[in-house]
Amino acid sequence: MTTLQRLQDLLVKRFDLERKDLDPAASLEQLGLDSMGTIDLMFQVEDEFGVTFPRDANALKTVQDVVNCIDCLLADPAAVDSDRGPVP
Amino acid sequence: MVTGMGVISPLGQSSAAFFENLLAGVSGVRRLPDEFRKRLSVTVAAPAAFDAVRHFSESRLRILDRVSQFAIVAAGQALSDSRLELAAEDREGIGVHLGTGMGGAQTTDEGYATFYGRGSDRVRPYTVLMSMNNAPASWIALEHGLGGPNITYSTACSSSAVAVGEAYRAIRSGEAEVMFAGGSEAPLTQGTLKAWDALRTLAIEDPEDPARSCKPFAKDRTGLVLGEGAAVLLLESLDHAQKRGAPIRGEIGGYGLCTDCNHITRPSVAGQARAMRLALADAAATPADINYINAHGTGTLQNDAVETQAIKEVFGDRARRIPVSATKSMHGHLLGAAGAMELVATLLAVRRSAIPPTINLRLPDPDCDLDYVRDRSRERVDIGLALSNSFAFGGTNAVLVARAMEPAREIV
Repeated sequence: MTTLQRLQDLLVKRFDLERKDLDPAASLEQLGLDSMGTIDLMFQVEDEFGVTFPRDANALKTVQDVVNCIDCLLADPAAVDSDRGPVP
Repeated sequence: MVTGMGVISPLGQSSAAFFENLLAGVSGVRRLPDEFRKRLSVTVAAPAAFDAVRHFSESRLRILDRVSQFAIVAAGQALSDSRLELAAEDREGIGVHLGTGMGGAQTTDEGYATFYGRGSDRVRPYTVLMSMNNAPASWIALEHGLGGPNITYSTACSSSAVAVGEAYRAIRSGEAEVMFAGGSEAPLTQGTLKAWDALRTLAIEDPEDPARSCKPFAKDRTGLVLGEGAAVLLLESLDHAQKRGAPIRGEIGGYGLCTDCNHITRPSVAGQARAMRLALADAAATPADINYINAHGTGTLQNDAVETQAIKEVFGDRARRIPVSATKSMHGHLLGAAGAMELVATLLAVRRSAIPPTINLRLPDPDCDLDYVRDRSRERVDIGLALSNSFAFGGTNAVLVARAMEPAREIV
C-alpha cells in the first residue's frame, strides 16, 4: 500500500472524511483540518507510520504535502521510531 | 424562570427519567469492575450509562473529555425542552454559567498515566484543551453560537449551585434575558478515585447490597459515593419567556451564598444556616414558607449531623415537620454537577407535588432527627417553596430556592 493510500485510510477512519474528497491536491483546511486539526493529524500519523515530526514541521497545506513529509521522514532513520505503536 | 432542563445522570439520560427513578427510590450506585478497582480501596460509584458514540463522531470524541460530552448533551436537551428558537434570538446576549470541580479529570489522568506511568511521550495533542475546567462551558457556547458571558465556577461541591445562582442574578438584574446554567462532572477515573480514597471520605460498600452503600443521615453511614453526570437549565426572564409563550418548568425564587472561612473541609452550622437564611431573604420568604428541603446530605459523618443542626437553627420548631431528602443516596455525589442536579430534582418535586425519598436510612441517628422521607416518596404534597442546599469543601455554601409558577402566570 502506498503512503497516500495509508494516509487516506487514516483520514477516513479517524477524521470522519470521505475517500472521494481525499485527492492529493486537496487542501487540509478545506477538509476541515485547521491548524489544530493538523496537529491532531500529525499525532495520528506519528502513531500510524512510526515517525516523529520535527518541532518545526509546518507548512502542511495539502494531502500531498503530508505524504511527502511522511516519505521524507521514513527515509530518515533518525525520524523513525520502530518501537512506536498506536496509542491504545 | 426555568424553561428547559437537561440531565445526564446515574439515574437516566433525561430529567423525566431521572425524576421517575428518584421517586421510585432507585439506586444508581454500583460495584466498580474488578480490574478497575484493583489498586483502589473504594469499591462503589454511581456511573452514568452514557453512550458517547451515539452522540459524537470519533474525531469529535478525540477533543471532548467525558465532562464536556455530558455538558453538551445536557445543554442540547435543555434547549429542546425549552422550545427556544435560537435563530430568532440575539445570541450575543446569551451566556453560559457552568460549574465543575474536577474539569476534564479523565484527560488529566490519561496524560499523567502516559507520561509518568507508562514512561511514554505520547501525550495527546488536545490534552490541555480537554482538561481545562472551562471546556464544557465553552463547548456549549461553540455548539450554539452563544456570545454572552461564559463563566466556569469551581467551588467544589457547590460549583453548579453557584453557577445557577449567578445566572439567576444576571437575569434578575437585567444583564441577561436568557442563560444556560448548570454543572458537569466526570470524576470516575482511577486517579481521581484514588485521591478521594486517600481522604478517607468515601463510603464503604454495603455488605449485602452495593447499591445501598450511600446512607445519608443514617447511624451506619460511612461516607459519600462519587457519581458522574451533568444538569443544565435554561433560564429566562419572565418577560422573555412570556413573549415567546415558553413552557415554564419552575422558577428560581432566591439564592443565598456565603463562606464558612473556618476550615478547608469541616462544615459549619453557622455557615450553612447563614446560606439558608440569605436564600430565604433573597426570596422574600420566611421559614414558614418552606415545605421541602433537598439536603446536601452527602452521607459523611460530619455533613449530615451539621446540616441537621443548621436546618434546626434556621427553622426552629418547624424543622422536624419539613420533609428533608438526600437524593445523593440514589445518584451519588456529583461534585461540581451536584447543585444543578439536585435543583432539577427540587424543581420537579415542587412541580409534581412529589418528594423523592432518602433511601438506605434504616438505622436512625440520634443526631439526625428530622423527617428525612425514609424509603418511599411522598406524593400529593403541596410544596410551594423549597430549598436546595449545596455546601462545599473550601467553605462555599450555596442555597437555591425553587418555586412553582403561580398558575395565573403559567402559560403551558
